[in-house]
Amino acid sequence: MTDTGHPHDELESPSEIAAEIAPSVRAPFADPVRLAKAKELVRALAVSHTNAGLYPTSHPLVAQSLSELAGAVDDLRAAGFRDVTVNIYKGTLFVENQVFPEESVTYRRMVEELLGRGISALTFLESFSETDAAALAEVISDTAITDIDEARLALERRNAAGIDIAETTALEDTGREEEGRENKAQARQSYDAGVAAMRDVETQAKLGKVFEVTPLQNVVSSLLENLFRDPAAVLGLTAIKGHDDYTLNHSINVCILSISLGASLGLDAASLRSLGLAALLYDLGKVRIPEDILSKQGPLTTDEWHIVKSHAEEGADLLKRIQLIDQMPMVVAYEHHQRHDLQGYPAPVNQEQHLYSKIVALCDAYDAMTTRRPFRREIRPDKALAVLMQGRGKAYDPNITKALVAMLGIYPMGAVIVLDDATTAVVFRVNSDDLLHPRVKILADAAGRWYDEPEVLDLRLVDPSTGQFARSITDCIPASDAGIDDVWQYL
Amino acid sequence: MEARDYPKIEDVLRSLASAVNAARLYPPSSDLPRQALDRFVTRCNEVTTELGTVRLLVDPHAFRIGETGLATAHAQTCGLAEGLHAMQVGQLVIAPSVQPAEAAAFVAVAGRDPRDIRAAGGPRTALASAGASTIAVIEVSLRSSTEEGLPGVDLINAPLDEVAHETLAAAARWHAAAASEEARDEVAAAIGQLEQATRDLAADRIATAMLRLSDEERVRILLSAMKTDTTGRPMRGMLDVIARMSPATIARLLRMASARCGARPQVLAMPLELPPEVAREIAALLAPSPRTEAECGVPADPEVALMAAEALAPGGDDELSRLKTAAGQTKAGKALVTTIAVVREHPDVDSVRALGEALAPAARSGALTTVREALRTVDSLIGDAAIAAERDRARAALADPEVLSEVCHAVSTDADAAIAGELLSGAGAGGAQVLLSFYARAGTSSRSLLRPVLRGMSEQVVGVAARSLRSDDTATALGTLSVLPDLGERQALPVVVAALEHLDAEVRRRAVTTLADLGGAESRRALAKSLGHWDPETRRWAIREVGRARAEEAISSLVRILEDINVLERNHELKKEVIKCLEAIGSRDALPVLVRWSNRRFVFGRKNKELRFLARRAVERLAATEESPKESMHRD
Repeated sequence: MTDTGHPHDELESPSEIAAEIAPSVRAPFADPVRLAKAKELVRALAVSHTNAGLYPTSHPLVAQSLSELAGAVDDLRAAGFRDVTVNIYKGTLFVENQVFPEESVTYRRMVEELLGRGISALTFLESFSETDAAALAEVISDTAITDIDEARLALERRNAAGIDIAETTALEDTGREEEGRENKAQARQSYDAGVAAMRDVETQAKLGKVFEVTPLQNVVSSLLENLFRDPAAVLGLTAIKGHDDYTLNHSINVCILSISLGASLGLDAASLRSLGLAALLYDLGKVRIPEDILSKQGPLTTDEWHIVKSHAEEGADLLKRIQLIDQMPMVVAYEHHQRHDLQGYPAPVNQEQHLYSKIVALCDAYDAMTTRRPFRREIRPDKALAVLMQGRGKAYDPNITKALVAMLGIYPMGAVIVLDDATTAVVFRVNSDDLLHPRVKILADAAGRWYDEPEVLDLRLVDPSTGQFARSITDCIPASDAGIDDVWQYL
Repeated sequence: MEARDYPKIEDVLRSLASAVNAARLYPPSSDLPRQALDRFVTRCNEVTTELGTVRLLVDPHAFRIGETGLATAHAQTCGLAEGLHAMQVGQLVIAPSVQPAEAAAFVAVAGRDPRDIRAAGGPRTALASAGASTIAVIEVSLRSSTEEGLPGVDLINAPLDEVAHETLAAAARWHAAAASEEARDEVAAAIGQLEQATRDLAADRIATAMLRLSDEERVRILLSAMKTDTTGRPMRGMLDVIARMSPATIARLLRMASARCGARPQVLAMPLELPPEVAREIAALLAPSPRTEAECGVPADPEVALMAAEALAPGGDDELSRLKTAAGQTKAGKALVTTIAVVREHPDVDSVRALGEALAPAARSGALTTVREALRTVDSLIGDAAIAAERDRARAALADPEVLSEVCHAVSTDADAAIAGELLSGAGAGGAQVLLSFYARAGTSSRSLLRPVLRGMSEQVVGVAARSLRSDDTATALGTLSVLPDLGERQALPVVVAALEHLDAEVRRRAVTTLADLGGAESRRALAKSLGHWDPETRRWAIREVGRARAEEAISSLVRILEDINVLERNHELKKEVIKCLEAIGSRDALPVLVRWSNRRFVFGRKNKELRFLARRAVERLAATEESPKESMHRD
């Protein structure tokens, strides 16, 4: 579905691209009114199909149902969309990426007849009219039409220019997979370059030397470039958890999470560059904290805690003289523990935390929680997000926290889950319209046997016989509990 | 078979793959699987009747005839080949006259889990027992030798499932023999018989193959391999293979084995010869968490549905929008606030320098309160000469005209005028110059906000204004003159009087107007004096402005001009202005001369008549004013 305000083919600037991945755009049916209109479209389509099969074209019921179908398309257009696509994927009905479980069962006959002709997508174009509706209903109920090519010809003969039918070909999937692999590889290169650059910076900072910022700026630019091309490829990198090089991996992960979140909030490219650099350097002050305190397993003494807390001021001190695009790295280093309610440290001077500090603080907390540390095990992603949601309005800004959860999903990319049939899977894509039902790759069966090739499954799919989701998540476990060291390879 | 026949065979394969997939995807109640199966039988029999029996090679990712891959772009067909290959099918043979029941049997077998099929005796047995005779499969076995067990398997090429199966069997045989004899380590034997170059690869394949087994089977392998034989040796080859697994896999295996046998996982790990970094990682994975999730405030059972609903709920856009706008606007101010904190914590030269660098952007952005705080902080530093030098440099940064102009602009929006005054005045003449220029261009509302700043710096501004009127262009001089009334008469008068001598007539005229605008007695006197200006145009303008300012000090001079009647002099315009001016001033002192003019009986020419008319009108008005002074005052 194309929002009239943001036609994809007219996208140019990074901010426009960023706006495209904003949650509100990614979940076009989050609004109940729009959702009801999409449901009405599916119903009207099915009724037209049934009536066209049962009655002659001159029958008033046929005319009425066609009028309703055209009206349903018009209604969605009035709700801000230019064109609407009804998809069928593995027997389940979607309007764009919004799953319709009940409708998939109720209108199973229509689904099967469409699939029987090799049709898996119907796009109602801007010019869709009642004439097009009549042509479509006739074609999909005509038993003489057996495949998509014949269906296309039949629509053409009836001058139905307002409707497009399509099938998802294996070739397209292969092409997408290939592109995805390439994007993933490029994103990984940026990540590794980031780790290397941060290692240099850390070394220089520990030696008390002034470090070069250009390599870090290049890393941020490269990550942003990848983010605009393939957001999932970049966000997936945060599944990389380096336990030996925790600080380095953590800073890159926070950078990725921050720029992804910033993009989803609609920040422009220049702001994202500034935010990204700040997110790489915000914890640099820890180079001045003794390692034995940072990695201490037991509780910290008051003095030790005081020393740890000084890392914010020390970070700002380290960054004060670095020639940066702006002084946001210093500000974020200073403010990232001040909290949304200003009850943190260093003692705030009655000023609101800067937006970048709020973003970085949130991403820092999420990545830190989901990574194993000497003093605690990793916390599984859904629980980590629950902690952040609990902290809304206190430690974290409520709206930015919501945006983070909407971006990551309840089970983010890389989350290892157990399904109701006891199979083990990893989340490789989040469905922005349904945060509880991501797309997963099933890695091992219930007995723990690993598959040669993971089975890809969209958890939004519905079991036609029950009308319920075909599979559901029963548990989310740390990757290491499933015997996985590197989740990223499966994304 | 000719290559031109391949498309027909591809068609058969596509219909077969569709039938297999339809059987997988749709419930038995659906007609689609049956229809797909019928299509396959029909097409298959058409093709095999024409071409005879078809024999196809089954590769891991495609069907082949010789070196030619068939339907390689069709994912379903490739998937079917992959599935059959996983069942260790090497060839697929289709003879003519395939019956629907046979096709259905094949579809059922092809759709099952390869492991189940192999466990049940292989696909060939499954098909035979289902009664399929016109569709057959030829199974492959990748044996490296005729030897029994794992050593007989080609560890490099054999399917992983076969390797896994043999590995499990090898561990079972070790377990059975270890109690009573010197057991044979088949894993070590199988790897040991390979060339050195391929041993690592073979060991890794066994480790990978073990993942094809169930958790239970892997645990059994581990525990069997740990069992020592009569010579006291464990199954070292197997343990070495296990040690090649990933740390998380080993840790999981140890945990499960621990649950099975009761020994601590750390103890179970001891026989494994692990590289130090792997051993450390495994130890970390096995160690109990120093802090529990509950201690860290993590909920035991998060309400995920509620979280998802809240995350997608509309709202908060306005607040986010405000934050985004503020993010840009407050950057510089935030940077300065942070630098002040850094200076307080680390009052060194670098900090002061950083503060100096942050000052100008903050001032530009209107964060004037913070700028003042920064200046006070920096002033409070007691340090060496280097700090003092940096302090001066920091202040100098604020003297940049661009910065000061932004400061003025900030005041005209919402910033604190007192602080702006402090900053502008701190910049000395430069500040005054910027303020004067800004003020000259500012609108009424901005001027009213900046007026206190201007008056506070009046001495400096006057100096700059005087210079400006002496040296600058006409436009600047005019702008400067427009500012001067707001400085107050005392400060502005000398400068305005000086401007009467400006080379440009327009400036002189504006100076006259300004004198009238100043409004004080001194100004009126200066205005009266300007009636004697050397430039007739300025003089005439002065007459008009005297009238507007009702400067009675000028009456005698005006009367003199009017009394000076010279028939040869053609100064009617000047006299017109004087009469109007006297009328505007409304003083009785002017009456005698006006009466004389109004009583002239013989006048010649239109202009003289006009002067007489104006004089009469002025007299009438003055008389009327005299009669009703209250009314006159009211009208004023």
